[in-house]
Order: sequence, then structure tokens, then C-alpha cells
Amino acid sequence: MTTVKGLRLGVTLFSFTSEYHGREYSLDQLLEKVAVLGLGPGVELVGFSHVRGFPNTTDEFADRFKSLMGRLGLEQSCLGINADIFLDPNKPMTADESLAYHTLQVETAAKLGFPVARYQFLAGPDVIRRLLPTAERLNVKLGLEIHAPHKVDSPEVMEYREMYEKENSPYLGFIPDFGASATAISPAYLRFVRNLGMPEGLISLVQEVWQQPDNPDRPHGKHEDFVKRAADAGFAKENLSECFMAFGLFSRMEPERWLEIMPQIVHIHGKFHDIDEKGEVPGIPYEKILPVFVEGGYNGYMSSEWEGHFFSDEPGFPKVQAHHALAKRILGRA
Amino acid sequence: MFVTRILTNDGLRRTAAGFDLDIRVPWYRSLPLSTVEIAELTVDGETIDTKLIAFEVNGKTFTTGDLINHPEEWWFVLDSAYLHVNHPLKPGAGHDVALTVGIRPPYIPGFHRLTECKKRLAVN
Repeated sequence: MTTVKGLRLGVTLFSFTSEYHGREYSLDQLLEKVAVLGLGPGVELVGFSHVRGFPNTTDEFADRFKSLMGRLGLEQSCLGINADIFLDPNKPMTADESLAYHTLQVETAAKLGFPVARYQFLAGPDVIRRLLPTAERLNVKLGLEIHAPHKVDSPEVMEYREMYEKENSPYLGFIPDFGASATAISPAYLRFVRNLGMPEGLISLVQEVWQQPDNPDRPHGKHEDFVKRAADAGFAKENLSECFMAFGLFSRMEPERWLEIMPQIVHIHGKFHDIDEKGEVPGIPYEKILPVFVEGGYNGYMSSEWEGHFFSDEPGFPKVQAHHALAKRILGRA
Repeated sequence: MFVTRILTNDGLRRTAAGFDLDIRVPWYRSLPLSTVEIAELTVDGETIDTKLIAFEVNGKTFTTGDLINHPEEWWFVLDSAYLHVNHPLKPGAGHDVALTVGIRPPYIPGFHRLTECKKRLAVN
């Protein structure tokens, strides 16, 4: 384990989805390039993307992966695991099935040397409470990702905070995703839907509803309101699935609100979709967000997470390099 | 973007029964077949009944209507799947293909994403 304190930089290989899904880089080649460009030392993987056979893995894969990471001077930061409750869309998993599914993923995280597993709120507080002994035994912290449209006090998040308080274990934590602290929908998304031919009236409606005040009790309320208004206005249903993304990727929580859960934050997703020629992220105020984590005494990794590959075929590596430069400028490490 | 990669550039082949297409999962991670849907295929402007399409992955073949019954079968994010289409391909070396694949990521209830990939493909 590293002994460096404070906010440390790293990357999730999710940022390189275009390169990886496009078969330009294998997993090993991505790791080598991350090392060459100095985008570590923290490296985050997505289990279901980067590990064939996940949630299972083989001893051979685990040994080879850990040995390569060590040779490259990289460090496992976090493994993304998923609450795939709807593997069967018509028959959601029972709590026992979900517990078994999550247990296997945490075992694989441990086997690959990850100190943190990112989990998703659909797991449910009771399954996570029951998963805790496994996490403690394997020395893997469980981090609930707080992702748009959720906030630190959304009803679903509060259920976890109450359970965490009762369990009082350092193995239970949170992972902020900075898409939840956006000030605007990313221009990368708007360019994408325009290129798809989405009607301007519908794009305006997405932005109008997105800018409205949040109702803390209804994190998904804006999307529901939007669907109703779009249907009333006669917009075609096939355009609406791409609009879902605007409400599921970006939401508007003030950066200071992360302080409420700061001691429980075990990892960060430094989300961005675009970075302009000045090296700024349009729509996500990093210059306000990162000082909150310095002030709060956060000690751990931030994975730079470029998600613009949903909207563009541009390579991810220059985006992440620019994001590291931005973070270093703000943190005074340039 | 997945929208540009669903149809593999060199993935159109003529067969005795019609033609095959080499396709990719339109998401950043592996998905179980139960969450994948072959929603629409048109070739040279003609819509092909999805009942005439078989879906092959991991060396196993399924009818498109049966995919939803296979949560145990995974489509790994780097692997191709193959559509075996039982419908004649017109003569000619190049064809306009439009394929719409639907996904329901199993951790996002209610999210049904349809992605349409359109390409002019050469017969290989």
C-alpha cells in the first residue's frame, strides 16, 4: 500500500473504451500506455469490461495482471462491480441471488489485488450489510457510487447512510461521480444528439427541464417530467432513449455537499465528457470541486473518467492527459 | 462510438442461405443475451423479418426471439457475434446495411437503448 496522503491521481480504463472496444488496444496495451504517459499510478478496471469471464476469473489471469501492474509501477485503485439485478429482464434477482453475485465479484476484486470495489445502489442496503463480513475478511472496501441523478441526501442514498451508521465499519464507503456536480449538460452530449438528428425542440426541452430546481425526494423526477412533456408535445418515442442519458449522466449538486460524507469517501470518479482548448471541463466546475476534497482531507485516488466516448470517436488518452494537467493545476502540483 | 462499431467493417459474407454479419455489442461492457435485442435489419432498403435471423455467440446459435431466455450466456465486450440471415442478398459487391440493436443494461432498470448502425459494406 502506498503511504502518500491526500488526493492522488489515476485513471479508469473506462476512459479508453473507444480504443479497447475498437480493438486498437488490448488490456495489457492500455496498461502499458497508461504507464508510459504517467496517467497512474492508480488504475481502475471495470470487471465486466476488462476481465473475460467476470464475475469469475482465473488464477492465470490474476497472476499475469498483478505481475504486469507491478512491473509497470501501477497500483490497483478500484474495481467497478455491477448490481445486475435484471440479468433476466422479466425476473429480478432475489436478495440471496444478488448477495451471491456480489460476493463473487468482491472475491474477484481481492484476487486481482483491488482495495476498493465500486458498487451500485441497486444492490440494496441489506445485501451490502450482508456482504460486509466478506469485504472485511478479504480487505476490500465497498464504495457506493453516487452518480447522477443522485445526491448525498437522495432517499436511496440516505438508506445506505443509515445502514452505514449502524454498522460503523471502515469497509463501507462512498464514491462520488462528478457528473453529479455538473452546472450544465455537456456540450459533447448536445453535439452528439444533434448529429443523430434529434429535433431542436426536443433538445431545448431536455435543457429546459434539466435546469429546473431539483426535488430532493424525486431524483428521477426530472426525467419522468421530461418524458411526459415530450410525449404531450408529440415527439417520437425512439428519440427519447438518448434523452434518458442527459438526466442519468449529469445533475446539479453543489460541490460543498460532498463534505457531508467526506470521511466515508473511499474513491472518486473524476468524470468528464469534454475538455476545451483552455484545459477546462465545460459543465463540471473542477476548480470548485477539487478544493472541497482538499479542505475535507480526502485521502485516496481520483480516477480520471472520460465518458465522451459515448459521444465521439476521439482517442481517450489526450483527454485524460489534459484532465490530469487540469487537476495538477488546481491542486498546485503543476 | 458504439453507433459506428456495431457493424464490423469487413463483416458481410455471402452464404448458401443468404448472408452473415459480424457484429459487436453496443455497450462498454459484456452483457447477457437476455438483455440484447436484434430490433431491426434492413439491407438495400429492404426490411428483413427478424425471424429469418439466427444469432451466434460463443459457438452457440439462438433464434433472435429466444435471446431473452438466456441470462446465463454472456457476450464478452471484445467478441464478435454473428447474424446468420436466411434471406438472399442481391447481386453486387457492396450493400447498404442498417442494423438496430437494443440493449437493457441489467443494472439500469427501465433503460432500453436502441442504437442504429448504418454502413455500406463490401461482401467478403
